[in-house]
Amino acid sequence: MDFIIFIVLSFILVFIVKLLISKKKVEEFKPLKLSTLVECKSCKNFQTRNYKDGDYLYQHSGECKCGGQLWITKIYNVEETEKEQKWRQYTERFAV
Amino acid sequence: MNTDFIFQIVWILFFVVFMFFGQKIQAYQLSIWLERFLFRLKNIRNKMFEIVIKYVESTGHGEDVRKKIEDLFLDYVIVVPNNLDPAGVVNKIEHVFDVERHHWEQMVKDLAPEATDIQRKNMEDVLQGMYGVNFLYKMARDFFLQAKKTNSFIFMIQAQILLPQIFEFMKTYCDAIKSFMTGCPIGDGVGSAVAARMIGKAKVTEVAKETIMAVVPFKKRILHVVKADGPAGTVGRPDEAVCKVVKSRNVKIVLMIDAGLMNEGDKSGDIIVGVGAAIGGFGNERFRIEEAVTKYKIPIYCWVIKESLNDAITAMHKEIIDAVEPTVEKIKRFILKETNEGDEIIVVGVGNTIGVGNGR
Repeated sequence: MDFIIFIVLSFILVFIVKLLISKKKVEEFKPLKLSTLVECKSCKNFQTRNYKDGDYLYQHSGECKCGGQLWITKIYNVEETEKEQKWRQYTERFAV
Repeated sequence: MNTDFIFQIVWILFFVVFMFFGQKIQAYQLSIWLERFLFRLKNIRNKMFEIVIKYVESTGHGEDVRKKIEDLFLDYVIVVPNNLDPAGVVNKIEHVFDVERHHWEQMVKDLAPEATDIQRKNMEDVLQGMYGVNFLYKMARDFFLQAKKTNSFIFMIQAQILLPQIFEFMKTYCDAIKSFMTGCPIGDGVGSAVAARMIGKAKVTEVAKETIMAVVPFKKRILHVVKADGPAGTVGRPDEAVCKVVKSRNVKIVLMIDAGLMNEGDKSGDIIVGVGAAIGGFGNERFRIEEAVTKYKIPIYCWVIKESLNDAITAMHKEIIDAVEPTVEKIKRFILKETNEGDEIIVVGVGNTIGVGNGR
């Protein structure tokens, strides 16, 4: 019987200690990870680079090696958190 | 007294306490949890506020930025017109929203005098996002304090259900603010991106406030492509543009492209076709477009690109931008099938055009 009381009291003690020392969750704001896809419409050559301030879709972005014009054709967020990835994979099981 | 007897007494006491005060104890336990959660939300709100202030100060070089934002932008109200007599209520709603737009423009101009037009438009979106974060925090605080004041277990449970949802919304709004600060395209702008892609090299003209239009020849047909004036963060007035073109030209069909909310489990970036005016907002713009096409008996079709709320207001994800080309191809095929040579067609790209140019 003493042993049971000891176990019950231990559990209660652990619970109280956990409640007291548990750290507050603090949210962090990470910067966005964006990619810009630059494409040449003449030679269909394309390259992906990091997003720079001032980039926008269908913006002229200089000249290609082939002499054609380079355009920004895609800007997108490359970041997917582990949680989002797991959730996406889970929901894919129910796809029809 | 042996141990068994003591244990029995303790057990009976334990039982009686929980029978009469169980709910109170649970309410107390919940209130501790809710209080901690609310501090977490407060922390997010304050951190985001500091980030916004830094952004506005560095972009606009205005004075008393903190005080101005606190006084003018965080607590803001729009009194929607009374609809007891619904006749003419759309005009009233439009008027109120026009005044609101003008008011925000003036306030942002005063807040950031050295910012460019594009920066100001993006700043308006940033401040509206901050308004959202602040509003959500206040809503959560209200739920918690109401529960605490009444010490009601039911209110506590209600708050426990709602606070995590509010937390998710707040995180989405914070991501949206970060996207608006960088000026990159957001998911909602996919309609604008499709329109810009269709405009190509055609010349664009301003057709309504913050709205552009291009006349694009396509297989001996004429496309009037309408979108908000990019790459600044604005949704423009596509309804005004559609009404103008419908009145002045012999339009065969109207096609609208917009981002639409998906159900959980749907694939982001899926393209669906339907009929009707695909445009969000308060409903006044949809009303104007529906009225115009009904008057001239013009068929109206829509393409909706599915995405979540989080995708819609944060930086565009790959699967959404990848849906632009297939949508353009589908629209072109549809035009060839449904119209004849010489027909005129309106194509409207709906959505916030932040980070999306006006064609190339």
